Amino acid sequence: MTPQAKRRAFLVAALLVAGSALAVISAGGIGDNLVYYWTPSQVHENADKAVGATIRLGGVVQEGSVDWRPDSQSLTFTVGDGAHDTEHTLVVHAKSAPPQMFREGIGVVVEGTLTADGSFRADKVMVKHSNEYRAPTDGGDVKDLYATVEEL
Amino acid sequence: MTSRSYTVALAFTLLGVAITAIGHAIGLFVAPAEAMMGDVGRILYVHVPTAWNAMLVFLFGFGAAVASLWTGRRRWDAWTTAAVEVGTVLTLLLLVQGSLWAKPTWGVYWTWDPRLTTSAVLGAAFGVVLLLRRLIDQPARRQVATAVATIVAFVDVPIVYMSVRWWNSLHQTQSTPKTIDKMMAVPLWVSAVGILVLSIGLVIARWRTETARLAAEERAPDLPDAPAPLHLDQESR
Amino acid sequence: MTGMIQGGWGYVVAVYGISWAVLLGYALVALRGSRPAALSALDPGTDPNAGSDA
Repeated sequence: MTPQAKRRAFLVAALLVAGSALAVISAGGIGDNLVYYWTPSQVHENADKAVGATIRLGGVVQEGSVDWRPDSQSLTFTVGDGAHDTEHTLVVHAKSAPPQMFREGIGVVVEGTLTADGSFRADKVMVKHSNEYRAPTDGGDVKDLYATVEEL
Repeated sequence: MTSRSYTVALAFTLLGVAITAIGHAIGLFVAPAEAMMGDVGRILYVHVPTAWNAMLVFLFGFGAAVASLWTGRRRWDAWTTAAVEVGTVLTLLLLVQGSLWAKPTWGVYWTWDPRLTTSAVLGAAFGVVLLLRRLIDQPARRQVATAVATIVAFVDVPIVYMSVRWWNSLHQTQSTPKTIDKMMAVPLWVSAVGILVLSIGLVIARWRTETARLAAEERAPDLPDAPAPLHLDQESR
Repeated sequence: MTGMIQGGWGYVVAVYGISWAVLLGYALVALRGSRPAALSALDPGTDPNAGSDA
């Protein structure tokens, strides 16, 4: 092989490797093994596997469910798949102050374990911001901001 | 090589810095705070342009790598190297920016979410390309290795972009003009154009240096290290 | 637990400070290293008028 033919063979091989890797990943070949968090429904479905293991749970903080007691640093709230009409919800207990953006109706990802009584004990509470960037409105309805979070 | 391309590199760099400065000034002092993130939301105007331009620079590097293998020309080897280096700098910067944005908003500096993980892989993969390049002395082999590694590493670019759609992530999905208030979109776009122009200037500057280095190497291929001990052995026998 | 994030300017200053420092620093190094004079020192063959030392 001439050096040129060799180089072009390398080009074809590299493009093939790159193309097939991308095809496999985009077709979901790796997606099933790459789970960053489970939704409350998925936790319910896999409750037997989930108990005791360290997992992440992601969902939306339900309206009226937040109970924060600063004196005892204890935080309790309910997480659902979406903001409303959620089939499955989970009660989450945490022992630390939440990030400042934490509130009802916002997306969260919590890290911790599912306990035998069916509630979730979180070591870490992380808040998810939507892809929307809005100027503050004067006392406006912040619920409008969560349109995309509800897709969780 | 003429010095004209130096003038071009200098002009792009200075113009890019100026445009970026204007975009950032609007973003920091004119645009409103974000409804939930407050002033922290202003990090948008530097973080998102850095991400977009890192991807664009890598896309150019990918094209240069294909041209480098197809033509075998040294100039495409230099373009590939310049783009990979500038893109890697932008990616490392991106990771630091994102980490400092994540702490006040998400509550953590880092989490192994798909967007963050694939972005870290991006920086590491192109860092390996640059390292690989330093380890190979023979110019033709180095050119092929650089280009092949660049093409393979580039696979991660669309994965980073799509990661927020393909998998559950803490990172938000891509923003569109609809999801960003107009008063915030203006500084975002100005800053994005500024960092693009700056990046073009940086790639041209790095290309000039790399081209001169490769030309010098070809003219004076007195590689001091590898062959020397062998010759000594043969002489002593 | 309902307002926007307060006191975020520290993070903003840190991110913009680091970003500008890295970009300007890198631009300085890249431009200095690609000056015609720097290139003719690297490769005297490129410009016959400049490489007097070689």
